[in-house]
Amino acid sequence: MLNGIFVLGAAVRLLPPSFVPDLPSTVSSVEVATPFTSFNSLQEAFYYLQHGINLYDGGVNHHSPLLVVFLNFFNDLPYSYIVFNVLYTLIDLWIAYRLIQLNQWYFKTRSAKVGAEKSEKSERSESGESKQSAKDLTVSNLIKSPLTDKLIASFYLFNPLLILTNWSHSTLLFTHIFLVESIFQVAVEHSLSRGMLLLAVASYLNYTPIFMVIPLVSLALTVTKGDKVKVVEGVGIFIVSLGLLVLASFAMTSSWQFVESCWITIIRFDQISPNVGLWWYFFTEMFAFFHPFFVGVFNLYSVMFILPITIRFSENDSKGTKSNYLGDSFLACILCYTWLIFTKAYPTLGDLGLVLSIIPIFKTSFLSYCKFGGFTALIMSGCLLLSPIFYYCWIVLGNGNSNFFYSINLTWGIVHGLILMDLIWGKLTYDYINENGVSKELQKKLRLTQI
Amino acid sequence: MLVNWFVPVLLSVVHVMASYNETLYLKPLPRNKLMASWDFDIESNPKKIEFHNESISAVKSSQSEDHFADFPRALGPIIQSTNTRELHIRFTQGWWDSESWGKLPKDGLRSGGTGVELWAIIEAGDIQAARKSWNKLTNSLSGFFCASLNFIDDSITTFPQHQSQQQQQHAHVQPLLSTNRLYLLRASLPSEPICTENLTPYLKLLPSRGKAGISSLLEGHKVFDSLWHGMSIDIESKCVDGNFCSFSMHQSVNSIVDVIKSMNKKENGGIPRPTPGEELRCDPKKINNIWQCFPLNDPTELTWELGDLLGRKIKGPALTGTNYPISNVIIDVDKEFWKVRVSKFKNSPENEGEVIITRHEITPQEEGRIHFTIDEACEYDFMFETSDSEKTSSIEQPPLKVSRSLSGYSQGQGGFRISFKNPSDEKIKFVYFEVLPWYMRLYFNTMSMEITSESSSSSSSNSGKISESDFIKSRYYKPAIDRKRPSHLELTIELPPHTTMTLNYQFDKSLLLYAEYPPDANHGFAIEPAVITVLDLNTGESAYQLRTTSLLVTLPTPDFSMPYNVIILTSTVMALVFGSVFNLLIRRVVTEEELEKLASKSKLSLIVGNIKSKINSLTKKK
Repeated sequence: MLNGIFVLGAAVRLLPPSFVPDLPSTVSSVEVATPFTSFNSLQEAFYYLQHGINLYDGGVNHHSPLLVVFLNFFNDLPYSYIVFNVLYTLIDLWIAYRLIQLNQWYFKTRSAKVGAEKSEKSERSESGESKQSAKDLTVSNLIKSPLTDKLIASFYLFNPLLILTNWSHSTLLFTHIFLVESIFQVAVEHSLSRGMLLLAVASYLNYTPIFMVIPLVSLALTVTKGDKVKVVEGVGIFIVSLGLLVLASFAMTSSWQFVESCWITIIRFDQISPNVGLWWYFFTEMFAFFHPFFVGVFNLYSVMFILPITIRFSENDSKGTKSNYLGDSFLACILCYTWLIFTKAYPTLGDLGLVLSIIPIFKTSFLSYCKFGGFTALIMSGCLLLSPIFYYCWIVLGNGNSNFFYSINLTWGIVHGLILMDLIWGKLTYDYINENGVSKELQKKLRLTQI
Repeated sequence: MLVNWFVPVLLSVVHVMASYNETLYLKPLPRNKLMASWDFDIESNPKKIEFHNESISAVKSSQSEDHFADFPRALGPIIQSTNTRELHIRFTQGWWDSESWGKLPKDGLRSGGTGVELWAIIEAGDIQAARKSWNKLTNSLSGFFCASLNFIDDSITTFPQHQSQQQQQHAHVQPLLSTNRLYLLRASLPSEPICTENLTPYLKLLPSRGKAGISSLLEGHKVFDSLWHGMSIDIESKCVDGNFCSFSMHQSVNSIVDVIKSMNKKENGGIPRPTPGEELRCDPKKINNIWQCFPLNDPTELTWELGDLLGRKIKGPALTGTNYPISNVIIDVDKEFWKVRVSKFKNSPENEGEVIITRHEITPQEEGRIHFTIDEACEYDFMFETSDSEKTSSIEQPPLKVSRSLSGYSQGQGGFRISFKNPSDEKIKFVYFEVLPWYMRLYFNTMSMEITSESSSSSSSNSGKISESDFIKSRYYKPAIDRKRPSHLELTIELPPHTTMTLNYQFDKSLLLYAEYPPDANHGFAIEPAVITVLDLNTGESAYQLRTTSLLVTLPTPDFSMPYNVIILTSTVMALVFGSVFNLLIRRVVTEEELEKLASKSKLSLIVGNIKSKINSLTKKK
């Protein structure tokens, strides 16, 4: 059955672009591909490479040098478009497989953690029998059975946002595989060094994941139980490997222009192109005088919550002030990533697609306490439906203007906000229930608020 | 030019005569069109010139200005201070109908593309210095010619690689300092309108200031009312013996005048009126009554005077007191069908008007061409009489036909379709030079080629059969950088006889910043014409040059009324999410009952409670 899902997932990705070779460029709409991830600009980069034109002496190519050189190898092969289809399909299958393993790992660690808490508590509260039974009730309620491998694979492989991203041959997929793989290495394999190396590759490819180093180190601390040296080690490995990649790129292109093209352009938002994010229209309409100021503000905004979220959901509470507090560093990783894709300069649908495919993993713990799922899904489908229509009205028909498309951008931003809030609130409710030992019956009447 | 370079002072009189020369060329074209082209050659005396350095700002300009002779003194310092060795300016407007008019005048080497085109060879130590001189040059010329040349900046300037014409001339020019190099810079402004305010300074460059000689015919309203017109200035420095240089300037004005339209305009004034019924020319072979009329073509039996078309008469020779023919007229007609008469007028104050002193027919000398010299100080006019105006002297067909058009229908993406047709029986080789603004993101990997051969009649658009390298011999492509550099493409193409080649490639249109849009953003952005230089197969020199039309590209536009709304709305969403996440992260989770309990203990609730109890006690007292 699981094999069947993988075969079907592969077929969905492999067959349409093989029979319709134009599919990647057709699907590469502004929502799916940005200048930084689009396959068109990658092919232009191949052209430059083959004709001896400097890869970064121009405004079209924003792909990292090593990626271009690596993929150019496939481009040279006969029937290269089929080769690319196979490559992109394999990447997606690999990510799906890793998500299954992450799901199993998450269930195992969560149940182990809650089990440990339970035994601790039972030791402490031996005196009161009645209280203990209440705890038992709670614990059995705290860990739910995880989703099956089949469902996790299906959530990834049949996510329409990800299928579109795959069909468009967006290089975002390379970022995704390195990111998921690095989380997998840190969490499941307990290998901080490999994880950091892979994260360095992901950051090298797409800049945004660079900030994932903070939640990932925190996750590593959790799985390896403390040891502050690990933090230094992890960050060190990350910086060294990123440095090596940059040096290798420099050696390959013999100039530093790629730094400007691949990263500085993103930070400064030099290339204004419509996408699903919040930046483009803001900076199109912004008065030139305030441009640098708001670039600073937006960049600050996009990294603002990385540290707070990591600390808030950290599991390494060395002081032990909250003895029965259940952190969730994996959740912190996902929340941080959601925040990053919400605030990034050139987001695509595929970014949120990955997050949406990871969220079902939390079914084991707190997902049932999230309330807005349906509401968010409705808004999201509205956005997905209207966004291409409004873009078409603006760009092709001319009977709508950019504000139509922009309104969908705003709503898409709110979708990110809702997902973030929903996840955090679900987790907080879950923690409250755990900390206060609320029984199953009381949970239904439980009305929580914050002060 | 019979110029003795080494004794300029002694023979300065001879110089003044030999340093200026003007020619008017007139040629009737089919469908009652007239090609009129004015050529002016001016040469300065040779003089030792030095490399102008910023640090040595005090140019010894006062030192003998007379070496300019008839060369315009206003231009001299601009050229010297920017170390310009060659300067070429083109002002062109209109569409050249090569189907009926044949080759461009002077093989197109003096014609430009729509708008203004400027290129120069500048001597400089490095590329930065060259750019600096170029900026200085364009800014000076901008004021000089009342054109928007000051809008030329790095984002539209290119360094052409294979403009063979320039490279040929390059050989004559050597840098003055051995450490320097010569840089060829080029820019064009396709949306620049050409009007009378460009013509006035143009005429001021002539020694006659447009008051005498053939330039007295150049009247702004008439010249710019033509179907196609172009003005050009080419300044070259010729150096002998190191840095002993003279400037030579060639000015040329070409225009295609619609004879019928101009005559109607003269009769009826500038306002178009419906033709009265009795003057309608109807086809007698078809139904013809007061209600119905099938119009005939324009009359072919015509008599008109040049003065009627251009509004003025030639006012004597350009310079008086010379014993050298400097004002020449060449008329190119088919002598079987055309008669040309020259009339001389003299203003006599007694009779209060013009008096014709002579009117006689002039006969063609060689190959049907009429050579005529204007030598008397009176007004000249030419009268053309034809029995069949469709019969003109032979028209040469251009060696290559090129059309460039845009494909695609959206403001987001588009494509180019360029078709080259070789109608001749010989193989031709040409350079395709194209500069595209940075906001068109070219995907050059999408370039596809189609070859259609007339002889084999089988069109083979299959790229598997033909390879690009069979036709495209060399390519130079420099991609654009946003706001810094345009894309620059040069292709050397060889095309077999009777073959049509079509190139296609795609581009993305990028969104600009709010302030970068012109006030009429939805009108579109003009894309400068591509330049095609046909090369001589033997010598490699440019044999013919033509330009495509300029194109209009519409870019995606934002809503220009929105800046404040966008700032407010985007900031709201960001603040909303920020605030919610911030609250969720730092606040403590409690049940609602706990909240009420806690709230009752807070200071605010205590104060509220106090006030309430006081009010209660007050009401009870009542």
